[in-house]
Amino acid sequence: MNKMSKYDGIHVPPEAHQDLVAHMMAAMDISQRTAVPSSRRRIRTLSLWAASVAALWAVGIFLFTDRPGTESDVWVTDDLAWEVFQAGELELSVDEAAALLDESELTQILADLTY
Amino acid sequence: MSKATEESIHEAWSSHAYDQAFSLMAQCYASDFYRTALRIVLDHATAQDVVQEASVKMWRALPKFKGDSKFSTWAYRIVVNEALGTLRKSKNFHRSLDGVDIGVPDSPYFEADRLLADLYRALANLPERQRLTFQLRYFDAKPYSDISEILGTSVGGLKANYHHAVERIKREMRELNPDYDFESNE
Repeated sequence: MNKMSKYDGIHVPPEAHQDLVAHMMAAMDISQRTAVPSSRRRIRTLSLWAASVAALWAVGIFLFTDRPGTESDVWVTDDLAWEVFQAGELELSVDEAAALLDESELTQILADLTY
Repeated sequence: MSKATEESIHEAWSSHAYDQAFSLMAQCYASDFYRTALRIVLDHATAQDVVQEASVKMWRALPKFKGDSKFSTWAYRIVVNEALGTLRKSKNFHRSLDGVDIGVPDSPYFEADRLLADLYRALANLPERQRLTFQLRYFDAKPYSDISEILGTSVGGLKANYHHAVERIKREMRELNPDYDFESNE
């Protein structure tokens, strides 16, 4: 083949090289920030579990509360219970939690909350 | 890049200092990644995007890197795959643009005489594998063993690709300019 330089004609000057390095580092930073850290995953799991407990509790209240004249069924969805929980309008005392959970579950949730 | 620097990346990686390993890799190879990406996608801004997207993938994959090849080879593979994926998504768009010099990189960092520009134009008519093999072998002087890892093709297949690429480039370049005389320089 004809003799020609193996130079591909692309010359990245030093300042442009540093820009590219900065782009790469920024990509790493963004990737690090968007990754869900394990502690956040744990809190999210805990929150879902707490939301399920809240949903059960709410269903229990509706099922076992005397409501004169109420004929229609009342459905409490997971989403609604979650919304209530997130809004911070649901508070459980230790006694209430103890009534809903057995001893090992209570020990576990206390351990998780103090994690 | 010197062997010592490749080793320093490996050293940082093996001590789980992934930030440091990534930073060293960026310092060493950012321009090479850009050049490789630009030769595939042929557009400056797209090549920059490719490097950035490939960087995200490299960073995420870094802890899973097996350490059985050079970092540069592993990273090149990610860049090439990212560039090819981008090219496939945007190929129709590029082809439909009027006034685009097909095959010649569009970048402020690219400068070519007529011979080099014709080489790029000839390369544009090659099948993808042949084009990539030629670029990595001819422009980057990479050994076949590295190209084999980057493209996931056997060394024998690469040698055949390179041979066919050279023959096809000669034909294409003669069509562009009959004055090109390859035989006397071989």
